[in-house]
Amino acid sequence: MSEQKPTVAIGLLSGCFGCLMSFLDLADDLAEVFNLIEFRRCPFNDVRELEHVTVGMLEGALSTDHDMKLAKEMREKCDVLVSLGTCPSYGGIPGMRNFQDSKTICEDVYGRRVPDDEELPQLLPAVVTLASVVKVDYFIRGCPPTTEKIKETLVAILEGKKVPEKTRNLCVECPRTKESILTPRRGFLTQGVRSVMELDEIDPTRCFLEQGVVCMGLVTVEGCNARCLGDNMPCRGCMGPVPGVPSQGNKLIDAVATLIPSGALMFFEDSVGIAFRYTHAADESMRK
Amino acid sequence: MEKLKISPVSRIEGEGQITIYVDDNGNIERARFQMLEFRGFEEFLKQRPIWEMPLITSKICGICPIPHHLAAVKAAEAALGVSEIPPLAIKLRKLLLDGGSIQDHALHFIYLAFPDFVFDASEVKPEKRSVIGLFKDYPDLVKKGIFLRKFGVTLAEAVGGHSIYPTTAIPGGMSRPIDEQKRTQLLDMLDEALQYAEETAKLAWKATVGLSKKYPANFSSKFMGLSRDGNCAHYDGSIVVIDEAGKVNSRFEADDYEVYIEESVERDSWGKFPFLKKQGVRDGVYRVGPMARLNIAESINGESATKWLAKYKELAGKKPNQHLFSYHLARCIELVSHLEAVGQVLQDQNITGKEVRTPVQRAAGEGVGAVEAPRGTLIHHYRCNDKGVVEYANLIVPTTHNNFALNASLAEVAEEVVKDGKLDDRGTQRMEMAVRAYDPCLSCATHAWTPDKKNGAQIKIVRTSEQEEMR
Repeated sequence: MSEQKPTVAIGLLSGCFGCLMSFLDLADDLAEVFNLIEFRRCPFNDVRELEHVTVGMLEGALSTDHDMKLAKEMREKCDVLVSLGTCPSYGGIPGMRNFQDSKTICEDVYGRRVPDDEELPQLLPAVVTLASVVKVDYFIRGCPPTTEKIKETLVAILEGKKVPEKTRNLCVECPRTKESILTPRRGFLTQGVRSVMELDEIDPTRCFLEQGVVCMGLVTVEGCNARCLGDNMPCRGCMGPVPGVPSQGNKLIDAVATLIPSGALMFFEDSVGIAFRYTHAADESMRK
Repeated sequence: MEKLKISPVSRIEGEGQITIYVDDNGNIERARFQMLEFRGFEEFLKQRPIWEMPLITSKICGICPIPHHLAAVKAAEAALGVSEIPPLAIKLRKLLLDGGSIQDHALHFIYLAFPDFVFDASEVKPEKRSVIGLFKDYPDLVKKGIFLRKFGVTLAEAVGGHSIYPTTAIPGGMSRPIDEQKRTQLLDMLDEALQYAEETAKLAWKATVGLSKKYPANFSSKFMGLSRDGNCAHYDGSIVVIDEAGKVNSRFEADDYEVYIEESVERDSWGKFPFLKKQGVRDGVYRVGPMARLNIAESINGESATKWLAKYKELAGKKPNQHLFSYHLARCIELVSHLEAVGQVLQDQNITGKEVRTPVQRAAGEGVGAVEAPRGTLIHHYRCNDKGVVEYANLIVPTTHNNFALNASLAEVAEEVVKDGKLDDRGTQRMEMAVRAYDPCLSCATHAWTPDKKNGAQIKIVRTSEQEEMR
């Protein structure tokens, strides 16, 4: 056994373990990975101390002071830091708590008796992205990232290479066909905004926007194989924006505004909760 | 007062720590399992459309997203007044739940818990006490674990789209049927999976019986779980609570959970502490999860699982199993049962039928949905306005139900392993084994909490004297 195997540490911030499940889905390839690298502090073994490692991966959002401490410590102790998944990269779903301030959340939840033991982590005022706190070397996007993407990135890191960046939107991977959306017309594409459950038939081959259902695909970066679209469900944007687009959410709302009669926007329930679902914490335009 | 800390607790799903509070005379005052994450779901679920709940709440947990997805869709259907969905959609949802539990149970028992049964922390280094260490010494076992997970994941993908974050359950049914090719692929894998599950159950039997003798545990509680006509149920059924003697304490529909369950807050935990209202804090402690389900069940799906259930029941005589390590055995018996159930359903060619949904319109309403997640009873509760926008959300997750019990078990182990105010490597492992038996899911437990403002219910503050008595 070689002594020089690259070492890997994994830290869990306020997340859900989903990215690590995607890693475990390597299944039969796990043996190969176990041979290539050596795990130090990670949720799969009993190592508690964070020693210096080659690669550090962080999953979850930065939501508490404990998360913040772990993120900084990890940066210090690793050569290459990976932001694993959409949470550390954009705030992800936990970033939706930024709709309210943390004090309101605590009081709503616990009343006047907010738990205050010194062992408990304290909430940050808002969820922030990892890159806003420390330097990040690699981003693996997606909620969850695909198993292939995790493997590809790990291999690239070990070989000291860059991972080619995806630059197009999800429509290029989507199996559905567009027709009326591409035809010049004076009228609007659809009369209103509907939810999938309300459709008489969910057409599995036609663009969701043409069926009156909001799909985030056109403002979301490619790379997930359009899994949801294949399952007859619209995209919710978990991969984050196309590079160069500062606000995935605003871009979506703009797009929808051009497709439906302007008054119908009023009937687009919870446009912010859909358009900014995964990027609220990263979006400058959402700062209070 | 002194504190002993194990941080982070290893081989569990999420970032948590154990704090043992030791008084000046060296006595254990209490032990706490504390979660170090915070997310706050119930707050930001408000203002979102109710049909988005299955898509957002599945993100509470990457390990058990499927029960969240399904509890949410059931609660949404109840709120939107959907009284009936196509029977095929129900069958598919049950399959989806089976797939999730298969991969979850295999992950927990083989990847996370099993290293404890073969690697003693006083002898084996921390790096080795892992699935990677297992892979070196017990490659066959790990390969079986990988295969069982793969079966669960393949099944979950066939029905739910993703296995991590399914998307296909929508109010009114499923967004798409499953295809024939997947059905045959799964049937081809089934025999091998069943064989491995059977072997896993045997291993769990050995481990459970051995460990329970070696490390007796006195903590006992009531148990809660879903049951349909006495059968162990996961997707539907009534909530049943049995007492320490195994007698039915209460039986209610999920809609009435607030009548039976109350939650308390303690200052040293972000997680709340539910208990049975009628019995109060002291006597109202209950547990959920595989051990609870099998203690409650009179029957279970599958021929082999039925035999296993009988053996399981004999373990504790006529009473419910109380030893925390029985969780492992119960988990693996369920693994067998899920696979047998899946086999029966997949044999039926009609499972690939196309009638999987009925359209649903937005409407005002309120609804509760309960399912059995791998770790226990999961309850989602929503109220929405006529635009379908959620105004109130409350979720009670399995790890929270077990909060009192887990801390009580920890205190019990601490009494035994903390010597002169110190904890050695094996003692630390024993503490962690207690945590792992419950298979807590921190992602779920830290989604945050909302008090019941609707009924103006008061949060009960537990005083230290009561805590003392509970221990």
